[in-house]
Amino acid sequence: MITVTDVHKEYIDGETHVRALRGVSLEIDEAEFLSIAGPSGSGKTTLLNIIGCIDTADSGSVEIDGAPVNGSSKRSLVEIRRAKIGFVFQNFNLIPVLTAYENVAMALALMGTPESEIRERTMKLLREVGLSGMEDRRPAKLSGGQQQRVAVARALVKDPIIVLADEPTANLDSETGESILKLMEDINRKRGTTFVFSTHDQMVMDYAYRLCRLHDGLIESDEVRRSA
Amino acid sequence: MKLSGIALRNVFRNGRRSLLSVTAVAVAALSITLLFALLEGIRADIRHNAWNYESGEVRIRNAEFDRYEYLNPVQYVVPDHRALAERLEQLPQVAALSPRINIPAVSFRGERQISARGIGLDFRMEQEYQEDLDLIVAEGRLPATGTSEAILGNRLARELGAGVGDTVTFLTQTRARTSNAFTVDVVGLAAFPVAALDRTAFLLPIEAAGHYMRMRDAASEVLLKSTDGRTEVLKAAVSALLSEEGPEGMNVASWTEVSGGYSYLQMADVVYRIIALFFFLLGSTVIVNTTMMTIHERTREIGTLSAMGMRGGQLVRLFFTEATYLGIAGSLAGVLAGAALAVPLQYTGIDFGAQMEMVDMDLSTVLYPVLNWRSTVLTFFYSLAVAMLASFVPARRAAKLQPVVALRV
Ligand SMILES: Nc1ncnc2c1ncn2[C@@H]1O[C@H](COP(=O)(O)OP(=O)(O)OP(=O)(O)O)[C@@H](O)[C@H]1O
Ligand SMILES: [Mg+2]
Repeated sequence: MITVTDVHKEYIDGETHVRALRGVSLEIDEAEFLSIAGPSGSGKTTLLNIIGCIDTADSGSVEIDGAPVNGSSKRSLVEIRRAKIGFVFQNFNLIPVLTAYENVAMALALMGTPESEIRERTMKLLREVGLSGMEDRRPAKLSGGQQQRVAVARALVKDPIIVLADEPTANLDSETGESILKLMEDINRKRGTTFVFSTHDQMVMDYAYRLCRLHDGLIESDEVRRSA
Repeated sequence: MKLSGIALRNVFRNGRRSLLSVTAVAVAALSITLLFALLEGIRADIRHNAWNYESGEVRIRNAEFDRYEYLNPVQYVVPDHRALAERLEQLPQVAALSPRINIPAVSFRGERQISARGIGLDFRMEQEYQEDLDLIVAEGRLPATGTSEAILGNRLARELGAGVGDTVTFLTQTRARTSNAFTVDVVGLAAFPVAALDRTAFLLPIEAAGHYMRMRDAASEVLLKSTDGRTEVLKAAVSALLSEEGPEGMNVASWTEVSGGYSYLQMADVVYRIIALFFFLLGSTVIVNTTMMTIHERTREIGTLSAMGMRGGQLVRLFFTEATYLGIAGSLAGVLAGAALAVPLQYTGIDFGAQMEMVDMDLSTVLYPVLNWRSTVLTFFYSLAVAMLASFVPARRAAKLQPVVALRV
């Protein structure tokens, strides 16, 4: 479904060249629950950004649903992100002036979904992530875990082909983090949505069905941990 | 959730800063509203004074006089003004007219020589020509027809040490360029709106002035006002009448051609526009600054929205709309406050007396701002447009931000 082939990415910061990815190849299938693990600076964020079409590779290719995305215009990358990719961020990144409901609905509004359908799907997802009754709260009035649930709902509401979560539990205490992971796993099981999340936390890795270890911009190991 | 709704909420995120931007735009709009009300007042005032005491709306003079005006050639006259006035009054374009005889005069007070300018008027016609003629009488009354009475400008009377009931003797040059002395009975003191007139002018009946100047039936000039404000039409009608029936050798001029006040107005117009532009620029820098700050502060949000698939154009619109709200609020508040200040001043006036004493210009010492609704509405739209334009450039930065970079903040 998503094929990453020999991707290289180098950052040039003045005199120093950082080779963040040095030839990464990866095949992600439908309904996977995949963790990209590795120490700080190993290239996890860089890889997720490239898969998520918010960054581009220097060389190599990325195919989403059989269509190559490298070389696409900025505009068509926006289109791909809008329709096909959901993001969950480490620090939630909800829009502070919007309520929980509006934050989720926004993802559908951007796609031009009709109002009645937006309402139905948004309410359904908020219920699914356990936030019934909190629709009208703004992020500041929600706990970190609740905010991340809103973010998960926001990523999922448009039925993306993949949800990319960059260290989704790093800003949460372990208990809350675990509940978020459980939520994602649940949805993955129920809906068959593909999840890719990065981490350097062992507990999080243990949740993964498949674990890719990244080191210095290279995939060190790729193994199936447990099966569905 | 519409972009406009989000933008509106964003306005209230940093209320104090938004208020500051609104205030900056408001101050600019307020200043400009007042400035233009003042300009409009000056415009009405200069026109009023020019039409009454300088060039009329349209003026008939002997062409030779106009040509050698700097020599003050009093021998070049408008002959038989009474007959001419009768014919001019028949023109439908003429609302009122005023034949005048100007007397270049000096008087002596001890060793000191005081220059003055007598204006011979037909007071009956003048009441019609200057509807508010009575308003200039500060003390006493206007001279009566068929007498040697005069009303003196306040300052002139003070210079001469004369008051109501006194007599003053002036020396002048007649039409035949001989010297003549005459004495007038002061029956009134006039508060002329223009400082220069107050210092030099006195009004007297045209018959007496004609006698002192040995004008026979002639006048120095005839001033006219149109019925409908169409100066050029009036001028054309008067020119046609003169070229058909004479007298020959007359020059018909409209105030836009010959009034010093009018050319001052043209200049003032440009100067005021430039000042307005500076106010707008000043106000717009605050909007630019605010927009830049909000975009900087919300970089991560921009990255998030971009990652979610919001297009660059929509991001720009989000910030642009927010600035537009600030612009609307500021422009509206400013224009309304400006109007609220200008309306009372319209009645009380602003006294520039002290500053204008020495200004040799046909500008009244007390100015009455006039709120022109058209220019006030324009000011609103201009300040709004400036605010929108000012925000547009920084707002475009929102689209230029790379989501990877924006999210890393
Ligand atoms: N914009 C950039 N400019 C320069 N170097 C960068 C930039 N982004 C990432 N890097 C470098 O590229 C390498 C990989 O970074 P990346 O953020 O992908 O690592 P990571 O695995 O996500 O690390 P962490 O666990 O700390 O989030 C690091 O050495 C990092 O310093
Ligand atoms: Mg990272």
